Amino acid sequence: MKKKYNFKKDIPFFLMLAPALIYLLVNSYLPMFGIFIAFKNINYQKGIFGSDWAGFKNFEFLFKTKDAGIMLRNTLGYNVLFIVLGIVLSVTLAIMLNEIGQTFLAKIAQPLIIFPNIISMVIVAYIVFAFLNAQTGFIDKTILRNMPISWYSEPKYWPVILTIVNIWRATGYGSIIYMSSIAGIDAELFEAARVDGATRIQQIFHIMIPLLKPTVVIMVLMAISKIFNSDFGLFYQVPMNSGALYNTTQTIDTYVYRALMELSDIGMSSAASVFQSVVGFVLVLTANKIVAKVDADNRLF
Amino acid sequence: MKKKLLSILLATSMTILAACGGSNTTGGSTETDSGAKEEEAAGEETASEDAGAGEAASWDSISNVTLYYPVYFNMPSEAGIQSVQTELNKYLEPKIGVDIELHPVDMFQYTDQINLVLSSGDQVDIFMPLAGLSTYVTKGQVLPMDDYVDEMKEAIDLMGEDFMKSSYVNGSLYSLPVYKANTYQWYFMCRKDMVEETGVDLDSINSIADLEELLTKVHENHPDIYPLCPTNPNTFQLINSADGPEAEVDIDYLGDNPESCTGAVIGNTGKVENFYASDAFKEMVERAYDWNQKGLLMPEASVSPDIASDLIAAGRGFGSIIGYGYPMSEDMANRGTYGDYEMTWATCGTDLMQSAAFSNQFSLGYTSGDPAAACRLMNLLWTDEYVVNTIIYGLEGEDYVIPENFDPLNSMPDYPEGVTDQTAPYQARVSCGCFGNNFLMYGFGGSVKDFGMDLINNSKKSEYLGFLFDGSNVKTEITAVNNVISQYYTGLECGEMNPDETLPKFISELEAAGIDAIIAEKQAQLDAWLSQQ
Amino acid sequence: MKNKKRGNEKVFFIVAGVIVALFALFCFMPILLVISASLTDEQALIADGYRFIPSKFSLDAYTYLWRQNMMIARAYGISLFVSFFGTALGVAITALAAYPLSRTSFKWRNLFTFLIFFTMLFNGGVVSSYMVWTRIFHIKNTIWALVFPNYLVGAFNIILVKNYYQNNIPVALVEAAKLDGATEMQIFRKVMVPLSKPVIVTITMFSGLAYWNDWTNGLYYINKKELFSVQLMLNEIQQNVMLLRTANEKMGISINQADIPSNGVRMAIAIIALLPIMIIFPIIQKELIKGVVIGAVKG
Repeated sequence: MKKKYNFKKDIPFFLMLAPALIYLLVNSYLPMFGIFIAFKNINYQKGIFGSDWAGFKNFEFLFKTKDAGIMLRNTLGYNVLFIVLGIVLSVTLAIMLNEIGQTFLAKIAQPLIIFPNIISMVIVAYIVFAFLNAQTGFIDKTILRNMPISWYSEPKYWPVILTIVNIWRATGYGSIIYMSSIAGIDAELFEAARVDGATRIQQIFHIMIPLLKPTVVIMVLMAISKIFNSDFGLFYQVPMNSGALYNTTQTIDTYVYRALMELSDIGMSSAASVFQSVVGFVLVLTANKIVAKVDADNRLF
Repeated sequence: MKKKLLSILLATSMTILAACGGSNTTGGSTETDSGAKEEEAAGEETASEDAGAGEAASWDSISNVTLYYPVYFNMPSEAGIQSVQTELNKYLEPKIGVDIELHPVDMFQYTDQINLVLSSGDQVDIFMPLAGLSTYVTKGQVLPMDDYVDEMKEAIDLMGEDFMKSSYVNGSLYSLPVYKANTYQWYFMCRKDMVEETGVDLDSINSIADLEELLTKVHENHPDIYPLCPTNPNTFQLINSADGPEAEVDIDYLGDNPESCTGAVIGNTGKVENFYASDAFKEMVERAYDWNQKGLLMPEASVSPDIASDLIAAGRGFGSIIGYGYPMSEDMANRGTYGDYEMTWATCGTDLMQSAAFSNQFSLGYTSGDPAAACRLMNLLWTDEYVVNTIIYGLEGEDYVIPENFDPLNSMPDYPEGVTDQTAPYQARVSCGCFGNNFLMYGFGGSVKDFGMDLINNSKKSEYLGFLFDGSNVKTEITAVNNVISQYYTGLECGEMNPDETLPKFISELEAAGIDAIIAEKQAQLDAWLSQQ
Repeated sequence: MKNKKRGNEKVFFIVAGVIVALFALFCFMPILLVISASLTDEQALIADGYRFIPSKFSLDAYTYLWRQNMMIARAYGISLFVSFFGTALGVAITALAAYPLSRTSFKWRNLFTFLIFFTMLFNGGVVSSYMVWTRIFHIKNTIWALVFPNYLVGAFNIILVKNYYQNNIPVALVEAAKLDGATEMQIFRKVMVPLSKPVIVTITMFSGLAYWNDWTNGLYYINKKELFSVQLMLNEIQQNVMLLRTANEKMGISINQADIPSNGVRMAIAIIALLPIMIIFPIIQKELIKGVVIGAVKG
């Protein structure tokens, strides 16, 4: 009944995919036997497969802690915030950069907005400390001369501080993706709109932004898959590991680090990453389903 | 400033002196055993010459033995490692039938790297089980060495059974402890000029509590200078230095240390309890809070990356508490790490010798190719000056030179002309404190050894010395408890959290995290251990 | 009417310029602080804290690094080689693989996209990766250990390029080329690659930055000082500092504080790691903005 599948036609496609697939097979699929470690009571002499099964014992530590709720809330909360802000700000920045075109300003600005991404988090932590410390910090010395705030013991300020650091670090980098999408838009579309009398702002809202939608959707889907992960440096190093701030700085990754620091137990650390992956997987499948229903062309797979 | 830079440039030489004690202190070395030592050394030389003459026949086959040891700051170069290895093998092949393979591992990733190589099945013969010997035993990462004690007889005899109490798990021998002073003498290092201003006699200071008067006077004289500065980032060492025999009760952390203690015995009662709920801990953190309120501690220390030596050099700090296993001297105190200020010191306290003091050990990896050969090599790491010094200092002529009138007991060799710690092809000088027999190394045989032997023989020893806790049954609770401790400990130790408010919260969160289950498990294991003694 | 419109556009242009300038300033201020700190006398840095203008100027941090020039120069060479080689190879593989995935006529596209995406979610962890790379491929302590594990080809980039092919390159162009008898490979080379320059440039930059910033591969696979990359060296120095806090007790050694590389040196290293980006970036950005006139290629 069905037309016979023409395998030959697809051979060039398979060949083109081959290098990437072989690499991912070696780099990602082969090592996946490591996932077993999460379910084993590792005994090195018996090997990964020979060790006794531990069931879900290695996962328990993620939930049997007073911080379980806090770290889930923080991880999800910050991620949602960062995804939304990231898109709004990166898209805006990309459009603005595109508007000013090949001006001198653009040439100077572009490398500058990428720099924050290359500075290691340890250095970032020092910079933040330079601004906020009570002895020599700028904020306390200049703006708040008479009412110093002890930033590192007040959890309520940290959602704002961490968000600012994240914007500083990620926006410029993120805007590159949208710039490339804008660069790919057919210039004739804008030309035609101009002829029809559309202002530049109208062009942006009616041509550019709709055409950026597929990229935004893909970026959101990929971000959702990582929604249970967090930037360890941002949440651990930037608040200087201050115990007083756990309420607003503890995420799954920082908890795993703090909890396992003394034990260095690979069973438990792989359990944590398996948990993060599974949740990300379920969420991204769901999100992709929704996208497929609403707008089939933009789904991930 | 010049001095500061110099101190960085000379990082290694500084480090050695710091990490391994004041070795240049050419104190009157009236060693009775120095003559014997030289004889030994001479004997070995002839042995190696004999070997060169073709004694190799005594070993049917040569076994490859890998040695994983930590190095700091400067990784030796590959070329340097190769030539040291070649040279060592000329000596080791005929002597013990071993080809050594050196694997220096950067200290900051030592435990992770060892876990990687062990879990992937690479051949690891000798390594340091730094995450706690009992854990490695439970996970099957180490081999028992009971069958090979004959191969290591000299090393074992040298240290004596007492020193090796922490090397046994379930009655089997699993490690050799590094032979060196393994408890600290605590010192308060401070600016001499400012002490003189106060008129306080440093000899009258014998404990951490005694410091208060001095610190208060300094604070009155110089309100802009922090009287007590953090020794390392985020710690004043106010607890580690105050929990020794000078305290009213003996505190044995049962293999842990104060910043991650899941159960301690306080006062030789044989009863495991929650250290953080104890009166001793309360007293220590109340003092920290009190001192913080009085302005005696650097504020925000729990988050600041600043440390004492920088602060003192910059004129913003007065002193700090530091522990050494080595004797203090004028020379040692003024190594240029504190800027232009002359330093002096008060002696504060000592440590109770307990199991945690022996955490520097070497064990046999489960992937060992030839355990007997590995044990023969280990024996030499504790007893053979040539092997030890070659691994620490490298090759004579290339990596170091022996100056004229060299006193091997009290001074270290120099770098060759134009060579620095950075450019020497091979050197692992900073590893001296965590390798084999410390006292065999150049510079550690004289006054350092005397001081160390005094600490080893005369330190007060805990009744539970040798007990090792295996937490694998209560892993989940340990993680939750560690998380709670990391939330409160630093803030309390730095005097920034008010114990009246924080301590009850801390204790109740520890209980909610399941510390009682760990304590019960620890108690059961301790009881079993005690009944075997 | 027309004038007013032009006036509005001018205002918009200026507003855009101001926003970009402010944001660039926001990004740069903290980095200026790092530059300034690296040029401040160490003791002044401790005494006065970080200032935008050094309270006491000093080149000590850079002199220190200069004296280590051989080590740094070598590490630079390693980082540059790895970044260039890894990026070039990785981008080629990525662009190639994205093409079949973007073709609706390819029956298995969703399956393969899923398989590729799956690697973004799940991984076996460091231990098993280490086993695969060292026991099967024996790359430990070779330069390939810095090139191959983790960074060569990533799902993120493949999907980015696939998405671009799909949305920014008209299907009609591909159809036309097919009618002209072009093979798939020819279509890829003659149509897709020239038209997708902006995204190729983007993933080149991402991949290059990932290689440049990476130190974990070095951490796991490299023990040879001769093969240390710039970031691994920087990280080693940082970590050694961190270690002091915990290791003193464990290792039973007291490292003297003076061994901690001074704050200035730490900052200077961070600045040095930025240099190549300053040099390479102008080339990259030209491609990103030039892309606006891409329509001209059509036809």
